[in-house]
Amino acid sequence: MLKNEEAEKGDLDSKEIVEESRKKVITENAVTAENGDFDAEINSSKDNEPNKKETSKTKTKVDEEKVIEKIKSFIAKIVAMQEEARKEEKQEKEQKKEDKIAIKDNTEKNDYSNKANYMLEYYDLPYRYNETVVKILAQTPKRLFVYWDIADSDREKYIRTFGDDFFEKTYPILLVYNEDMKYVKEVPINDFANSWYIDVQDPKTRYTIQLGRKFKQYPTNIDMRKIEENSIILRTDYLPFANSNILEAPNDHVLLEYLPRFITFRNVKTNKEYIKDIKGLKNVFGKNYKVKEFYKENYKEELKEGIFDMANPSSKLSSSTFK
Amino acid sequence: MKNIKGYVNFILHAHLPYIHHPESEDYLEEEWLFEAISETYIPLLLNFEKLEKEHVDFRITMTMTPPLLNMLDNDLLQERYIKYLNKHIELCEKEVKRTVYDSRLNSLSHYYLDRYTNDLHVFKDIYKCNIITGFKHFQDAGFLEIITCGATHGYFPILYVNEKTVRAQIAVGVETYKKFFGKQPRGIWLPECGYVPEADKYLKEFGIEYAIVETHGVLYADPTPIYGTYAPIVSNDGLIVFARDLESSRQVWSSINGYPGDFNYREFYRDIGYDCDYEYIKPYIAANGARVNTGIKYYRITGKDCPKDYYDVRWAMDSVEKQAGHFLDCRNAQIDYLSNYMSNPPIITCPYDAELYGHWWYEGPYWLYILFKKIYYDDCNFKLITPSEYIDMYPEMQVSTPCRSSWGANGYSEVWLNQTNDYAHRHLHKAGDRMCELASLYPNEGDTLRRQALNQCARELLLAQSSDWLFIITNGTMVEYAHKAIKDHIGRFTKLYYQIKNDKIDAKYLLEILDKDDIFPEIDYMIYY
Repeated sequence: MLKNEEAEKGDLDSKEIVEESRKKVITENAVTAENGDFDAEINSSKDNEPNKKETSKTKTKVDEEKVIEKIKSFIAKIVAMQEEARKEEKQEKEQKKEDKIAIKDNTEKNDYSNKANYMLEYYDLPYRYNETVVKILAQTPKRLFVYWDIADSDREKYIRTFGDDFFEKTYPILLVYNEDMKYVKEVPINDFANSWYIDVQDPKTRYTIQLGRKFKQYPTNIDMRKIEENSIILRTDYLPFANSNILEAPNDHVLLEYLPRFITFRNVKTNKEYIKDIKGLKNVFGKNYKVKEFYKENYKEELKEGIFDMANPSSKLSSSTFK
Repeated sequence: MKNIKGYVNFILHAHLPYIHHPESEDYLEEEWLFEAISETYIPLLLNFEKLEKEHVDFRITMTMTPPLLNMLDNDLLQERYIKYLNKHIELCEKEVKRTVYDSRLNSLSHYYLDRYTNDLHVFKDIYKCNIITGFKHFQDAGFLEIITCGATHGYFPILYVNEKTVRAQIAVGVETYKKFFGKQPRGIWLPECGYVPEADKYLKEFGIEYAIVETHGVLYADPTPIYGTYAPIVSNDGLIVFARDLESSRQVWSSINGYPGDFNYREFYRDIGYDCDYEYIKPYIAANGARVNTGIKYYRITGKDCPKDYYDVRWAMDSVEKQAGHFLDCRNAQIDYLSNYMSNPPIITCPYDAELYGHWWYEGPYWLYILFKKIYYDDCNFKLITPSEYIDMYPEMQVSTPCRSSWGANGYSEVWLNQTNDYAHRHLHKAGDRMCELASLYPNEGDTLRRQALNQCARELLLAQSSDWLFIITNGTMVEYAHKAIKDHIGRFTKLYYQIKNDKIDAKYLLEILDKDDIFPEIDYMIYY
């Protein structure tokens, strides 16, 4: 009953996989599948895992038609099982929940550790993906995080062009471009790093970062033909390798200094927009409404400190107790 | 007749990461869900039920995140929760005998025995093992507005380097909501309140009208919102945002004089899991023998640096009533003042982690009950409201671009991007790129096995992206579990990625990881196309 319920849970995906994998298992183990018991097949496929090669050799000798027949009969059996389960489910619709609860109620008697023999898994993250990439993220309005990698094929390209000691006679740098303020900042890094934190000056502006290398000494005897062949860009003593995504650093203060006189309002139901003149707004006391005073009054503690205390108690207290 | 001058909007964000280990019962992390059901979700439902029975017209908004919904709906976890309760009832019965010499302690033992026994009754007999139906009932009855969240609580300000991965988080979040609640969600809790303007277009694409952001998400918006956090704003792309109110937030959660610190309230850190004799408590703590919280706590906060006194439920209830009154008075005064300056009535948005109510602040759910009753019956100038109701009543709002922000410590991305966890981001981004590559290589895959492998890749990617792992690593507790979760999900994703590309899908392996990571059964990898 429980088995049928699980199979009929509406999880089409897993059902499809089960069918598909059953087909595969059946095909691979057609010889051993004599008794037609599906569960036995699954188990035999597990047990015979080391002998898989032998089985596949035997497999080729088996009459193909027989295999197809077997597959057909299994599929028919599965379909019949599903139909039966559906019937049962219909008949016992009222009873179903109570049964389920009763089963759950007896969970202490069940031994989940024996429910399935799961294979042991172990994964480690690769050190690198061997691709040329530079990505930036904003940690705060004034601190960016950048990570990078240079594909081996690109490294070889530079060695081909400038010689085996290319990485000894150059050093890596990051060029931080502020796209809005139009300035560049050079950040020296080292060959042991693959990420960096960079302090920047201007929140709410867009940045890109370029990874490149600089020659320790101005290069001489450069083979321009090789540079062209390898599509390498050389700017005096600097070689740009890769560019990052564009990132806008977050804003870090109330923009009262840019407060426009005219503010756009939108009716979100009709999408009609209209302009309000702030100077024309009057509060109930008949005075002109002043945004700065409103902020000063309502957020005075925070404005006094010059910065809002954003430390969120929820993050500090609650989640930490669970996680 | 009340003179309504403004509104208060309570939002509880209910979320836990997807923890599901059919292979073993020894994962302590699975108990996060059980603790949350017993201490937060059931108490909230019971208090909502009391309000409904007493004809109190209340309003509250809750997120129920897709991982939480999937866990609450999971047969195995439901079974294990019953087992958890049975074990607690057994311990409580022992406690009743053990504490017989002390009447105060003994009455507390009885209190816990009743409580866990009642939990079992509520879970099994009333909600038929699925408490989602309870929350759905209150939504259908009009008291509760449930909103959705990113599929696995993936933090947008880090994921948006590949926008398709943000789009997928939103798409799956919306689909999961529809599956469980049978309708389109109007609002979203941005995971960790992480706002980036780049996500607006995808939120709109999937029919999301509004989101919740941290205070400075609105205060630092451009141009400056003229009514601060007391009115929603709408972005150029049409996403409406409501921001957390600072004043009410401080009152509840200040570590110095916030409500949960009342001396009559239950002390979180004194638990019989640590206090009792080791041999006696051993069967009820971690499988490896480590002492952990059991949820049975006999002491009240009592005071600072003093011996702890026993918890007294009646005293705690008295404090709840006083504090609910205080909160109501403060909102009255706040709204009275603000309404003089606003074109529309002000809305005070009060968002919290749902699990704070009951788990951390044990009396929290009862505080909500008393507060909501007071708001309904007492003479006050405001009403409770949901964001949707407010939008429908006051659809005119200032156009302004919210600030990139989060509700984590210091308001930006430091919690999810720092030297303890920054190693993970390149792997999350790479897996995101690879998922998009798979979707474009095998669009609308007809082969069943390959399609299932592609769908499983999507599940593994989403699970790896959960912001919880990064948070746990920063937080420094259960760190190994979080490191392993990232490794496992990225590892499984990568293994399948190569199996698909090399046309060598191992069906047995696929079945096994599908059994373990069985979230989102209906997922379609084409969301990454």
